[in-house]
Amino acid sequence: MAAERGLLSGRLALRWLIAGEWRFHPARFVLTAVAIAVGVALGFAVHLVNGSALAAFDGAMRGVSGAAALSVRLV
Amino acid sequence: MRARIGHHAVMTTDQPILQVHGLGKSVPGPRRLFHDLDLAVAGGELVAIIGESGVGKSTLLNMLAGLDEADEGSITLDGTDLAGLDETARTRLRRERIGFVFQAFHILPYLTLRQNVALPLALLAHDAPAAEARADAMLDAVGLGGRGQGYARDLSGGELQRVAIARALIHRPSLILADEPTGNLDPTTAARVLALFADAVRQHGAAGVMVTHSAACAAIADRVLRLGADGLMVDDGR
Repeated sequence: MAAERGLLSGRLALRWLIAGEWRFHPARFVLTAVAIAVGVALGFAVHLVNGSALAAFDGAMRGVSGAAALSVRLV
Repeated sequence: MRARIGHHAVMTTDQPILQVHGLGKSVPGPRRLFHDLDLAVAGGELVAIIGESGVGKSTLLNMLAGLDEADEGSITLDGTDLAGLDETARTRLRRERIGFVFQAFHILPYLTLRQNVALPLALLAHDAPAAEARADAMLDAVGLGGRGQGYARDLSGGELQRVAIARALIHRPSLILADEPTGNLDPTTAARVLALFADAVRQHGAAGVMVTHSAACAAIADRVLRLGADGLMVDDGR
């Protein structure tokens, strides 16, 4: 809560600092924002690929040695 | 040039704002920087601390600001013992009650001068128009009225230090700390900036502690103390 208050109280200063950086170095600012966006997208993509590969492997293992989908029992 | 800061009368209080008792600090190895150091600074009083290089002047200043912890002793600011505060509370105390003036000015190059001066108020959640209006008044008081829209690159060293003084005072701190405030200035400019700094401290009723090598710089203070391994002693060589 205290940390949140601290962050909120510095909002005006943060706005000034971001605006100042944008005014003096627009190309660097855009490049930084794009780099962060690409990094986040890449991390999310790896997460999705990993989840998909694990699900496919799980399905394959189930097909080979998993529990039978249908069984016949003596009554 | 002796500019008036704000509209405050010159104030000196008998009650110390800053009290240091039995302070000690060691560095790794057998060496001890100082020990059993006592100091009391009243409101409106400016104290200069001098001493050889490496004796621990800047370390003492960092300890007074709560940036460095003491090995022994206590530091009390406005009745608050710094040792009893956690890091968050110390940060808040610094933001609200302490002003800094640095040798290298540390004026942010990408902010206007008005925004630089208003930065302590921005960090204290003041709204932009009020903070900027007070920054303009402070710039006016240090002789830089009408320059608020300019940037640090447009100013000389002396002017930058005046901006730094305005920034240190804008939130009306109880304690103002200055580390070699005229170290980067020529003697004439240094004398002007020092007079302004001393006036500002006295008129705001803040306790001022200034670390310096310069005898001229120390001469403007109300008290000059020499820091040595056995603590602070009154310096008679003024």
